[in-house]
Amino acid sequence: MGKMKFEGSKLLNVACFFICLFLLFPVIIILISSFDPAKYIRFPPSGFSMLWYQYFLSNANWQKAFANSLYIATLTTLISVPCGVLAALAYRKYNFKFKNLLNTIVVLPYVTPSLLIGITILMTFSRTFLRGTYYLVAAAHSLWSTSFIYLLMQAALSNYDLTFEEAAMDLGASPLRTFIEVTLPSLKSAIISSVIFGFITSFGEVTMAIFLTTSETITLPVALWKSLKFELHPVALVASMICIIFAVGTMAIIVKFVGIETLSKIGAKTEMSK
Amino acid sequence: MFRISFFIGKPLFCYIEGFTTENYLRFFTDPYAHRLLMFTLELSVPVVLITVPIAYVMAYAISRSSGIKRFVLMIVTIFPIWINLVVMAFGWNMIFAKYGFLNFCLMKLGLISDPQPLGYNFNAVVVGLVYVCLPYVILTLVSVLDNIDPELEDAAKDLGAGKLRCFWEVTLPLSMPGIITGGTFSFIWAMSSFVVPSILGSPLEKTISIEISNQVLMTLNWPYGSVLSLVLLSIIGVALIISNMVRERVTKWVR
Amino acid sequence: MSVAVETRNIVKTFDKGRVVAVDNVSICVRKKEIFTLLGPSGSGKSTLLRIIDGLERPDSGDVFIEGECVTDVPTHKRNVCMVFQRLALFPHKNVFENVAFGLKMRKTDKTEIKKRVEETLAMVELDPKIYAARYPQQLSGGEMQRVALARAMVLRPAVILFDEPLASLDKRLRDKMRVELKQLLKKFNITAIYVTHDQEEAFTLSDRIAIMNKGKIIQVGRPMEVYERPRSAFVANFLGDTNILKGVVEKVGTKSISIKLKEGISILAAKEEMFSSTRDVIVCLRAEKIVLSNEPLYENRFEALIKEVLFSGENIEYLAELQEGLILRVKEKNRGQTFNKGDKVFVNWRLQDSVLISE
Repeated sequence: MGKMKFEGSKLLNVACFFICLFLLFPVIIILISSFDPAKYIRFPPSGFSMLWYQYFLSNANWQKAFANSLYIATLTTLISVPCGVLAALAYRKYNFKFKNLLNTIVVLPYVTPSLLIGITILMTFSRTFLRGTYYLVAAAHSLWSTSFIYLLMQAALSNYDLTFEEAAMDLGASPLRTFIEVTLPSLKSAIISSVIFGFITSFGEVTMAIFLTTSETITLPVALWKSLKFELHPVALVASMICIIFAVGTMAIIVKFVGIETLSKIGAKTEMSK
Repeated sequence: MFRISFFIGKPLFCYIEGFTTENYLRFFTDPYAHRLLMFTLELSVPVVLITVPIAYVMAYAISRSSGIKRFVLMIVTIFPIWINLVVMAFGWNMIFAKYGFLNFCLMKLGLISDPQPLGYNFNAVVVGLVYVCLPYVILTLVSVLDNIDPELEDAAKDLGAGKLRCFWEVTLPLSMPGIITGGTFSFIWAMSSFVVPSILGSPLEKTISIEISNQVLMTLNWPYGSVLSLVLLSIIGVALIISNMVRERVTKWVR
Repeated sequence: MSVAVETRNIVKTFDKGRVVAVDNVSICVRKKEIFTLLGPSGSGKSTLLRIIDGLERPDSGDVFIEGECVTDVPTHKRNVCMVFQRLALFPHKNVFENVAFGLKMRKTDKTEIKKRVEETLAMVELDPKIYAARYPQQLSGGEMQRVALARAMVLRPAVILFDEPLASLDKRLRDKMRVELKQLLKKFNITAIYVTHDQEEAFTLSDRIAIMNKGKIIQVGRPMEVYERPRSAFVANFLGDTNILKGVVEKVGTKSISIKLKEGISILAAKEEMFSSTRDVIVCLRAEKIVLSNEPLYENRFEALIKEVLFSGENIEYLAELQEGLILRVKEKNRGQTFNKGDKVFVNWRLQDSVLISE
């Protein structure tokens, strides 16, 4: 196909290249700068050192934020993965009365701006004992994350053939056993990806967290945010790098498990559910 | 589809019943609030207009490529989604900063002699928002473009359409639904953006979301904050409805 | 100039040369002729068609349309049109716009477009008043076919290419459309190259057939010719039910040849010059040429036992096993009287019923 549109291709390639550059740019800058030992952030970096990395690891506040992030992310994963996976499975397999409504409700948090979700939750639970706790943040993140996982599972399930399950039941396996022996293993990679997905969306979530965290429960992104707004310190670069490393790492794992095409189908699913 | 917000139960009467109408009134009469709204719109429109064409170019390239090339392009596209907003904003901040990358380049090229404050302004925010929206729009468009039957393009060529005409007559109209969805998405995101404008913009660039957060977190005037949120929500709702309507009109064919 | 399309030594490979789709193919299609490329999937026929249309470029070789070499000419400039497998009607344009598309590309003026489109729609028996404003999704399968055809016809190309366009229709509609298509093509003297894997379709439609396999043209000829006188076992096997028998020429007489089959029995076939004694030969015996009877009838007559009976409505197929172990497939028209499994019968065929092929 490319042979006759040679001129067009070249232009396209060049444009692509620049777009890619654009997409990768900020990260590259942060990466480079995080090794800069200077007290003020400037470009070009004045040297190469791990100074700020060490600072990050030893500073109690940052460490706390980091730990909080991990904790909340774990909680979120624990809540959202079962919900999302089961919801997606239920949608696929059964035809029950409120099916479409369920679909809408589950997808809703994904398309609602996180700002609004954050605020709502804050206000709704402000009078309750949950206020300012880890659980609240985790719950808010779970709302969003369940949506995400639901969509991811849907995309993965579109490749999955239900007749396997039917065959198993036909051969005498009870629904529970079928689930354990047939469904879960086939969806293994999708489920693992969901777990990682749930984790990373929570870990990197910032908008909701800004509203829902206190200085006790502050998460890494929020700490970063505060730093950017108020007192900019080079260690923020390191914090950013940590986030990036987590992001890249999890993305790599998921791409390996589920494949990049399935991932992109999430985008398609959102379109369809409109 | 009309979006009924299931999870948002607005405690409009946060403290006393009497407050409610007062807050709404305040919104409708306060010119400051209006300016806020206008500004946010002013911000969102360029973002959409810039994001969609760039995304289309990238999506077109992705859908027409395969193998390693496609894989790499996809990875680069998905990449920003995983990085959280603050990090993104931070990165751009660094690029635009007084002693940041762009200034460095410009000085090196001899275009300017002193570092300019390129950041903390409108344009920076637009760039940041484009960056945030781009991946999602690209993905949507890729899936739409992938679904166009290649036979249709072959047929157009066969009937005498050169490359450009083939694109204009066949590919573009068929990818319209994707364009509308992408545009709507960018719009919604830009309208409700909070993190990016607050980091990359000066205090002058206040979006409605920033104001909401101020009300909620600092002034602690929750009722007013809720009103603003509701306004934002309704704007988004209206945008979605309009976009669906436009989609129905443009896609005369029933899928 | 009576040649509409000619290809010379077309070679096309994919996957860096690992897959040879078209292997040195040269064909010559005459004007007003319906020429079919027939072959199994993967035989290269669609690729060849696409090369003629310009959607693929050959690695080597040339394509000539009405005498002009068009190998380097891109698709949109060639005077060739294709009706695609999935029809490729533009879903976002209505019938009129679809058919007018090619004319629009040629910057024909509006009144002329309207005239020609309506004319062509009438030619394919779609009333413009009813159909012009409809969209493809609102049409039935048969109607869509006609629109696709009209879209190609309106441009009056040197040749119209068909890439298995009837494949998506159900059998009844397909049979009906086939006949209509042929009538239309003949009525307007359209040159056509048709690709299909359906032998029946090829026979019904074509003036000439080219049988392809693995990128090569195996045999070209009129349908009757190709069917009755296959020049290779592949062709014989591909077209209809044939019994392929292997043997050696025993004796050459004045009018007949005697061949000893590997199973041991000797059969008689009509004499053909090139088969002399002791040559290896393949005998193709069409299933429908064999006659079952209770008494011996023809020159070739053998006792057999009916092993299997398969009833398929119009025909009845039998598997008859001869004493020496040879099993022959026999197809007879359903005339009511049938033989049953286990019956002892005679299988008969005449000298001229078999075809000899050298391999």
